[in-house]
Amino acid sequence: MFSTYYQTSEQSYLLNYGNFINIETNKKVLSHFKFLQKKNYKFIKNIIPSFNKLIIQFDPYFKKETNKIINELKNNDHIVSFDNKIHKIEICYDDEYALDKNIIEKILNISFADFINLHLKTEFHVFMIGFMPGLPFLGVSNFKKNIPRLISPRLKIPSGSVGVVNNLTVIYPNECPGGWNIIGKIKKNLFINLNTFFSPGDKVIFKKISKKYFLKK
Amino acid sequence: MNNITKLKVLREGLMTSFQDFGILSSQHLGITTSGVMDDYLFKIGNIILFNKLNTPSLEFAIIGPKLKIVSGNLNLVITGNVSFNLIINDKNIKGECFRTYFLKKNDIIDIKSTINSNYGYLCVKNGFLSNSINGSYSTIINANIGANKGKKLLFNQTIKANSSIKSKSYKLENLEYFNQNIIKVIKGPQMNYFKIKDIDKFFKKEFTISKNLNRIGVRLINNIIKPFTSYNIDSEGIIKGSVQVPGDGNPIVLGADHPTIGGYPKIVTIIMDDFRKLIQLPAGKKFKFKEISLEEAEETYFKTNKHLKNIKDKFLVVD
Repeated sequence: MFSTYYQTSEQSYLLNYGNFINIETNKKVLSHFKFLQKKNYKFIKNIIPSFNKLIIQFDPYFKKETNKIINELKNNDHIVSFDNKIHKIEICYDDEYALDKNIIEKILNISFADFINLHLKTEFHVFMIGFMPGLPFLGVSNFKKNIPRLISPRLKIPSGSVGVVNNLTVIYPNECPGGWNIIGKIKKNLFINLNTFFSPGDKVIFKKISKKYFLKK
Repeated sequence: MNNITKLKVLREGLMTSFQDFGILSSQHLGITTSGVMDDYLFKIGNIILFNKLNTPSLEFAIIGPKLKIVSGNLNLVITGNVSFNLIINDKNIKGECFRTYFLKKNDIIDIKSTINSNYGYLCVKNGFLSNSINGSYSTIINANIGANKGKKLLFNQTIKANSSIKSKSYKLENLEYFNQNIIKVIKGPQMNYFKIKDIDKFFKKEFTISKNLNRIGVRLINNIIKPFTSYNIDSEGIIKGSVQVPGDGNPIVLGADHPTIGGYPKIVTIIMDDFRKLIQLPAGKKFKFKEISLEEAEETYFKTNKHLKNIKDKFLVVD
């Protein structure tokens, strides 16, 4: 299912499943990720899935064994079934939290209310968790234009902030710097006791709530 | 033997934290591997104490901690290029790195600073005690995860270590180590994002270590390299030692606490054995990158491990 692979260090391989961000490609990555996770090989130190790549970190003394596994994966095109967990997440798009409302309106040339409707219409797929603990990368929305990153990233994004770039959405579980356009905020804690709330392959639907309700919760 | 030694933190230092080889199998949750920045110094510290290689130690940076033993005994060693004093039995002693010492109640370890380098290690016989995650005693300070409840060492806190009875003292001499000016690398996954003439410049011209250096990454300056295709790639997993190039053209070497996913093109990967050499270079230091083959990189890795295995033969008995 991957087209090429490449050794990026003495202890890691990068498997390439294509150059597109779409759910079909990502499911291939996640299938191999889940396959390897289940096998629980002692000499595999980390497996990192992303949109269309998989990194396998291994103990350099076990390169032969790792090569064998990669050859095995090459012939394994079984797409695993996902639990299809659907999470409904309450989001507040109030001006106080939608820090980049004006940028979004300008780039897409629509009102923020119309943007919200588009955002609420998407059933999001969780591509991966990463960058920081518990941060989900969600997609794919259907905006008419690309939304670039902020020209200069914010030094502090409040925790729970929801950001968009192009047709993707992220949620920052904790305060951190970042360059995504902030459109709202959620209350749900996405990273508790070393567990992430979402898993790759899950589905997410946002539900709009008012500021009054958001503050009450 | 099962007693616990307690140490009071009289000075916390600039960035002191519990570390070991790092946290495995967690990057897919966004939890980075963390772990020691200089695995060589960490391993030597544990070898000279006859510890298991992965015994948790204290890593310090630039300005170290000052610790007072409030109960119990301790065999310890400090590895690195470090200026420190010990107060043993009320006597002030100038400390020697790579030499083991035995300390008792009321004795003090005062780690003043690293010299011409950034990181040093305080290893103790049988290790420090703290909370672990996934079996690791590493600390990810910026994420608040790991040993010491995810925090760097705090002023006035009490930390714990396993007590040990006085063992033979050893030392190691003539370790050739600091101030490398050639850092070896292999091709990175997006080297083809750069023009041949820029790749040439990347290797021929010196870089300078900027002041922007910490456990997350090291910014390199004075040799701007810009990718010609795009400043962004589809975000993918990233690893320690990878050299990514953001839009302004000043490369970033990813450190132990790097984010787990990144969207900048990566021009090279520093070989595992040279990562520790790069992160020890102080701000302002100049160096060049040199490309080697993957096979050479692998050989170097095995060779260094072999060298560490045989290092016991070089121990000198002090008393």
